[in-house]
Amino acid sequence: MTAAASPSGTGGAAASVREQRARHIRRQRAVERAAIALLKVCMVLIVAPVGLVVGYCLWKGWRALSWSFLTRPPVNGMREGGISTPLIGTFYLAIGTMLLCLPLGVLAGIYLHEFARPGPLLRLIRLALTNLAGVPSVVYGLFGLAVFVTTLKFDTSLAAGCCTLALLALPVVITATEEALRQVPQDFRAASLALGATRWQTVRLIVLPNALPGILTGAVLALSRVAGETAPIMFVAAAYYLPFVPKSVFSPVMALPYHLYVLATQVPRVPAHVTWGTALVLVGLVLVLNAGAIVVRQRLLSRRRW
Amino acid sequence: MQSVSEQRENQSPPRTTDKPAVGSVGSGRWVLPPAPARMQVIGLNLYYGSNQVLRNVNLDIRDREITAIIGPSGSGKSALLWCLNRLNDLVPAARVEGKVLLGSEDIYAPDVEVALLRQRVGMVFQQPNPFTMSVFDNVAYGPRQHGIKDRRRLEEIVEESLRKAALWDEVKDMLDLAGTSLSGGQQQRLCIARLLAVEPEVILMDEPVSALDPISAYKIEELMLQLCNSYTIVLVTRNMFQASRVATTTAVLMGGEVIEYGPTEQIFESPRDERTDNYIRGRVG
Repeated sequence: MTAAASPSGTGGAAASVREQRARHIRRQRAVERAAIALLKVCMVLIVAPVGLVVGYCLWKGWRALSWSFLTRPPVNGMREGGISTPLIGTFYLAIGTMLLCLPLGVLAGIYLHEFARPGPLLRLIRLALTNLAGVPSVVYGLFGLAVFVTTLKFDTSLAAGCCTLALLALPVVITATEEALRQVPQDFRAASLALGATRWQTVRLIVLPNALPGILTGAVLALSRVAGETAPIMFVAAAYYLPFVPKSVFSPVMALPYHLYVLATQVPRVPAHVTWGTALVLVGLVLVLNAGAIVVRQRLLSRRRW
Repeated sequence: MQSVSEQRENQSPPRTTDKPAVGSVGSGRWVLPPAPARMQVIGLNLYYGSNQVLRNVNLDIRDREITAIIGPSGSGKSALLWCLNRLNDLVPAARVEGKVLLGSEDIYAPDVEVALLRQRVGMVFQQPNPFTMSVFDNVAYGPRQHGIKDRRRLEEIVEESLRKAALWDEVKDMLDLAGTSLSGGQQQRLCIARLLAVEPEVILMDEPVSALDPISAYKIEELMLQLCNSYTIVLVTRNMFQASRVATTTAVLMGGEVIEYGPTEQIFESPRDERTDNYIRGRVG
């Protein structure tokens, strides 16, 4: 190496150093190829199950799909008919949950990120949120049963289901809101404050509009999670079978995930295509919601530049 | 209404402080009497946590002149500037000792309303940072936040501010365009117009041209000379030639201390401190 660098080195020595370096880099290239191949395999291992799940649902359930499957309630011990009541029930549950947890979660996230003073208390709250996100969903169900169904006397109802699911979705929404706020450049806040605006004006007019794509994405992801949850609503909201949609928020309601659980485990001799058709609709619903989140995000992002 | 560009054509900007303010040239509907906007920094110490960033800084910032603060990176120039309109309040662990007077008021006194202070002492940032809204809304942002709702009045303010920032002729047909779609130099002038719309007395400029190309930078520099007839300007810059071109007074900051402070010519021609001499000759920093 020193020979190659020094002008007084002989030509032969320089050539041998170059030869040595070339061998070394050939080895490094081989290592690089192997590493990239490994990464690729992992990627396929992760993506393949998703494709398989959707593909298998399609394969087993496509025959059930029809307009009447979506618009008629289940009949004949749920072995025939459609899935309209659980589908609408899930829709109501999702909407109600969002109405409860979006305002709460977004406002709490704004407070935590923009106004709360850093310190031990804030760290404690963050820790609590992380733990809340990690609580198994069945525990939420039990909590909902104790608090909303029994203590607050909501009974097994849409209202109790929405409240329980809202608790489950809150940490997701708060974390997404904080993350979205973190993405807004500090310069924007400084510029607005330097013009003599208050912190609230700054947050409302400058920070929030710029954080909106991230907040919406988080909201839709929370929504898709809520739409697919089974365990929390088993105890607090879901009806085994209802031929009609709920008339009030204090009525029980059918829900797609729970309906699927019932079809798969509680009812004998259900035709496979009905079960899988239900699964297909549920998976499709979640996929559509997630895709919607991506589209909304891209559209809002394409409008901003910094 | 006499526009800034007209004024600019027939003169190199006058440097005396007793000229009529540009702000008084307008229609008279939206003009504050020029207040003497002298600022004094007295015994200022700034800490970020346990780290002392500024050490016993004393400065006299004179009314309607450009005061430059030069010094190597990390010397505390921007931190000092941020102390002058209390943007340092944003830094959670920042602690300030000493006094900063605007006129005769201590801006760190407990009863000071920071929003009102920042309307009087505005800032232009290193990176042009127009809001993600239209050119018009960018300029109207300040006045709107301060309670002006009348559309006609806002239109007047926007036009006058853009004229003062020498940007009106370039953007008058695209006021609805996103502020972020302008070129870098235009964005920075938009930020200046946005600031002028709240009628500040002091303008703090934190390396306002270091992110711009030389021609845009030149335009901003020219604008500074124009503006210092009506506004007190504090300019932080790493570009010593810029300081020598525009500033009447220059302070040299090193390691959080003002090592030299005086008329710009004196700083550049016969510095008293050896470190200043080394710095301006490019031997340090």
